[in-house]
Amino acid sequence: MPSDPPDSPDSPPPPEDSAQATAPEAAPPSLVAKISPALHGRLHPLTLLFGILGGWSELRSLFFQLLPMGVVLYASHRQLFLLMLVLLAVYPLFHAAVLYFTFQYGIEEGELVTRQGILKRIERHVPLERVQDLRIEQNLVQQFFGVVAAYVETAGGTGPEASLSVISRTEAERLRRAIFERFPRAIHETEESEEPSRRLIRRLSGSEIILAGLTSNRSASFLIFLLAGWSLLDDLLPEAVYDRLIRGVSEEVQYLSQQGMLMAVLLLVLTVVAILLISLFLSIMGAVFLFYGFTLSLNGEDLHRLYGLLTRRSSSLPRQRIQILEVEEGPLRQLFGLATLRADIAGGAKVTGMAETGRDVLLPVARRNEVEPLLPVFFPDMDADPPEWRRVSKRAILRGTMRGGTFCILVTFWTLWLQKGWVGLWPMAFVPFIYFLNVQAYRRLGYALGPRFFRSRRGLLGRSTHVVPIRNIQSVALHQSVFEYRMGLATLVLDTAGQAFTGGGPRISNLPIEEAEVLARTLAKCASETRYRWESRK
Amino acid sequence: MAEGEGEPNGDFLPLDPRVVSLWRLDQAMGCGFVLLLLLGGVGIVFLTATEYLIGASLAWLLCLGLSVWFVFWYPGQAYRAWGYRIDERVLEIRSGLLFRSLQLLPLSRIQHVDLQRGPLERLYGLSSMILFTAGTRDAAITLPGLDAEEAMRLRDHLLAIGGDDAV
Repeated sequence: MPSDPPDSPDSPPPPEDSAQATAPEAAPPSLVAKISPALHGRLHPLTLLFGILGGWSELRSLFFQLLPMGVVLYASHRQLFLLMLVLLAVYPLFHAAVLYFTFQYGIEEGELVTRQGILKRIERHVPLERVQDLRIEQNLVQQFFGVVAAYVETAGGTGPEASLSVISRTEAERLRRAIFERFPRAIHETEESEEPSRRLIRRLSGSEIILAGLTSNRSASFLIFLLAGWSLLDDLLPEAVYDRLIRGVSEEVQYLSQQGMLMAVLLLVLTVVAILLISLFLSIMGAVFLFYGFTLSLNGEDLHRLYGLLTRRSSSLPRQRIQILEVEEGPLRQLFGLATLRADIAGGAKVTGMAETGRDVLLPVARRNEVEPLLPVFFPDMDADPPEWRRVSKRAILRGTMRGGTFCILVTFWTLWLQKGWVGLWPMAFVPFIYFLNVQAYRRLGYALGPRFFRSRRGLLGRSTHVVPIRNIQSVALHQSVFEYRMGLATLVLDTAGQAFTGGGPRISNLPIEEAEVLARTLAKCASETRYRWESRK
Repeated sequence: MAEGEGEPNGDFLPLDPRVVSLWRLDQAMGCGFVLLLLLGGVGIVFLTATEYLIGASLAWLLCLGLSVWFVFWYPGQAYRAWGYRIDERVLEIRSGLLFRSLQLLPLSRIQHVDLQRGPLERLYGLSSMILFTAGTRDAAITLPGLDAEEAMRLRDHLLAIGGDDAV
């Protein structure tokens, strides 16, 4: 052994290492005293299987990236190549084994505690009252084995605070109860009944889910998919074949267009129709796979969502945590009298791929006229009578049209410079259309102030309505650009905790400044008179 | 300097007048740096493409004019636009010249308050106050140009009134 440090005769590092190596057997030293854990457990043995499967699927992309290098290596050093292959295959097994043998979780003194790791030991404490959401997911294979993956979400940060992947279904249910059915409320409930009341709020039928798919705007994403497919074709096919394909298609098109203008137009129309039909089909399939069998129920105080065809997902959301609610009517959905309900919880961060898991919607689709009666389910202290809607200043139409018109005039100068004569005036033809859009926007813009709730709505072709409990307002702001100042208008913006899913919260433009100031002061004063909590219990 | 007086909302408190000098110094340093860089550009034009020299010089003079406006006129106007007032429930802050804004902060929503003093601010004995809420976009609301002593007093006052929200 080369030169040990002389000042450490009892050499502390080795014992520490061995202590860590044997740690999984012994109970890891806890940072808090354990007082009769209400619930304590470890991951399901199938963690090993799913850990390996998950690890391999993650390795797959790496594998393809390393493939060229691998081929070279295989040709020169076959043994080294095989060794690397074995290591790559074994690593997920090792990883899963460490996770399975070291991961422990439990509920201790009102906290969810997780411990894991051998060398770097992580102990995490999540106070139960900070848990915002417990998500449970189950894909097809997990359904077969009766296990689930559970994720505990809190207000802070991105991603789940604790991932329990995988545990048995009954264990997940036990965990859900332990987290959400606890002290003050639990005591309160035992007075009435032992089992928390479970009330079905809404179940989506097959036809409603198909309608949801039909009206979701996925054509754009389909086009992107198509383009990606085309470029992939370019990469995969040998150049000669690709060229022949291109030439064949273009010759066909040329031949058809020689048959006359009509044929070319027909071809174009047919292509567009085909693309639309395929995209509609894909949208419907997407909606069915994601939301099949959607039920929303109220379990005590928790909103419980359950949905999915192949991957079953469930999510428990305490309703007191809802900061803001949005009723979204896209242009297509409005045509059918449909709406989507979205809710934001405190600190909810936007994560990519959230829409693919359906986490961003509280209710994917509902008829517009059944939304209002549903609101007291989400906000039990909802104002009895919906307050009267107020519109903004009519100057909104003038301002919007002037703004759009100025842009048209600028474009016209440019086109006149390019194309001499009357033809160059074509951008001005858009002015009536801009006027029409502004009238529509004016009609949709409005607000309603009740004693405890504030509502605002806005939209151009679709419409989005926000319902905000005044107790959840964090701050109020009025903004005026130079033009708005000239016209005596202002934009009112409300800030709340968590605006990830509801499209940025309430924002009302074109309010007359005097009215806006009164409204802003009223809202700020009302908000200051209430107490804000993450979970505002009444 | 009679700034901050005779405003329509007379009951708004002005910032500390020293902040105008601070902003002037700040702007002067920023503009001076950019002007020097541009002067270098003009120098390159002088050495390489003399036919554009007049245009380049004119452009530089335009920038100089803008800088003079930014250094001498703008801080005073911005100072007049800033203002704040506190009653027992709400803090109101107005600001902005081209883009006016009025921010209303219910005092019970304050999570914590920061006082920030950069080197220049310390030179002038000033302090910026940053008020944090649990919100998202407007979670941090800034009130610059307060006298350092006054800022500390104000912070203690705000926390004493507002700190009763259990979050």
